[in-house]
Amino acid sequence: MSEQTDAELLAAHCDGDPDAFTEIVRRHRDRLWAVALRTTGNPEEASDALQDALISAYRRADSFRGDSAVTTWLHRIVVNASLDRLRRRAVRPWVPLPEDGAGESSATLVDDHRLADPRAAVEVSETVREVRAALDTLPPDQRAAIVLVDLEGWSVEEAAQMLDCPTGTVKSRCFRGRAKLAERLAHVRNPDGSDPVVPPDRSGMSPPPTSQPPTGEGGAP
Amino acid sequence: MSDSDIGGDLPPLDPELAAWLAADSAPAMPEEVWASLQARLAAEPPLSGPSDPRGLPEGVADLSEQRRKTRVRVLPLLAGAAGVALVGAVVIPTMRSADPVPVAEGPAGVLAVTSSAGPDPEPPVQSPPAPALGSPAAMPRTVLTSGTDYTTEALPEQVVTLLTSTGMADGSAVADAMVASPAATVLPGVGLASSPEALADCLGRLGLPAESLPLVLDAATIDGRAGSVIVTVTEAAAEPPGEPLTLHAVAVGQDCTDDDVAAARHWDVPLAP
Repeated sequence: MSEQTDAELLAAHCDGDPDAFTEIVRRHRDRLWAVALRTTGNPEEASDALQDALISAYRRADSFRGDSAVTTWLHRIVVNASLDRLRRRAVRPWVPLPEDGAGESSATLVDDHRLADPRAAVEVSETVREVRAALDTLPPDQRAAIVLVDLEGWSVEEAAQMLDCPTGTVKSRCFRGRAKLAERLAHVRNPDGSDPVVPPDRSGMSPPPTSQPPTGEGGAP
Repeated sequence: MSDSDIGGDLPPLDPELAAWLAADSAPAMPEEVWASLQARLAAEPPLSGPSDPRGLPEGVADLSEQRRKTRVRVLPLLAGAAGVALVGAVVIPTMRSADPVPVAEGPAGVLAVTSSAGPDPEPPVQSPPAPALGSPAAMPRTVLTSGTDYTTEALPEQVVTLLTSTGMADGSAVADAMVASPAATVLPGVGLASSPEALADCLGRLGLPAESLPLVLDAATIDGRAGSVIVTVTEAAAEPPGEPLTLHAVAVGQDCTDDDVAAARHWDVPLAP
């Protein structure tokens, strides 16, 4: 089964193969999870969104027409389910339980391998926490675009397929989202409020993306 | 704020921002999530080919074949409500005269639009972008103007027909609808279908729980008067999956005035799992 392409597996699933769909999900599970987790910002919501989305995809697999890659289609469904969770949360805000110190379900956990150097782990953990907190403040559409393009590395075109919108809209959302992230992470860049100090090895880098957007972009975020 | 549609290339990510984002390495799916997902997938019956009836309740006709024959046209729509500009496409299936005519369905990808069980000869319909997020309310999953004249005596049966024709005749389909996106359009001037805020306000005044999720809104007539039939569900009612599900339906006058609220009819609609 592992030699089959995703499309072949999906066709086998539609023909009644009981294991084919699970094999597709197994192949892409980490990326799908990452998108759900980063979009919802909450492991429990991500789990619910992911499972609901994939069950829906399982049942309606015969509606897939092959206009995009199977993984793009799956991402699209997962992103939609994640955004739907966010919309519901906007109506009925999710209140996280206070952390008890163990934090096993916390989205701010750092991968274990980073704990080899405790000091580095703390720094990374703090940065990750700040980045995730900043990401959580973005409007869901902008967050999803940033997650797909800047975090998961999908192309603008692929992200547009997943988000069901024009590529220009994805670019606009990324641009606005980046600008907000840079603004909200300014204290990470410059924690004491003094003039930013540019390290020598970064002297040539560009400033935060506060410049004008590409052609056609207008108005403030 | 609407997202403008821009041209040109997306500028490269600022290196420092890129470094911050890179610090957040991609998380792997936790084993417990994977195990749960595998269990849920394993519990699903295998698909049995292109026409896989989804277990309609006894006495309810399977309209999937009829829906497959639905012709789908895509019309441009510019809808504005509450300061939100929604630009997209409206899916208008042309159905037999006796059937409700869906005006818009949610942008849950191709799945939401092509809810029939079998392959559709029509090309996929690109759904419009979702409505502005963070808004206090959302439109139902499906908004339609069926032209039905609901009558007090026949309301429960008519609503079963409505749910069947909109692909929500069983708990499984409703669960799917609950994870789909809301309809990305409104019907200006058509009562509660005119804005999500109007709908949310009316549902609140009707005494529905705050967590009620509107699934279907049919802007029609009730005993000859303009009104809306709204079917809602709560997450609590949908748990646990696989159990019989009870929806709540309400028929209310078009403008949801105090008199309309007082005269509104409420009833529950039990569905098979």
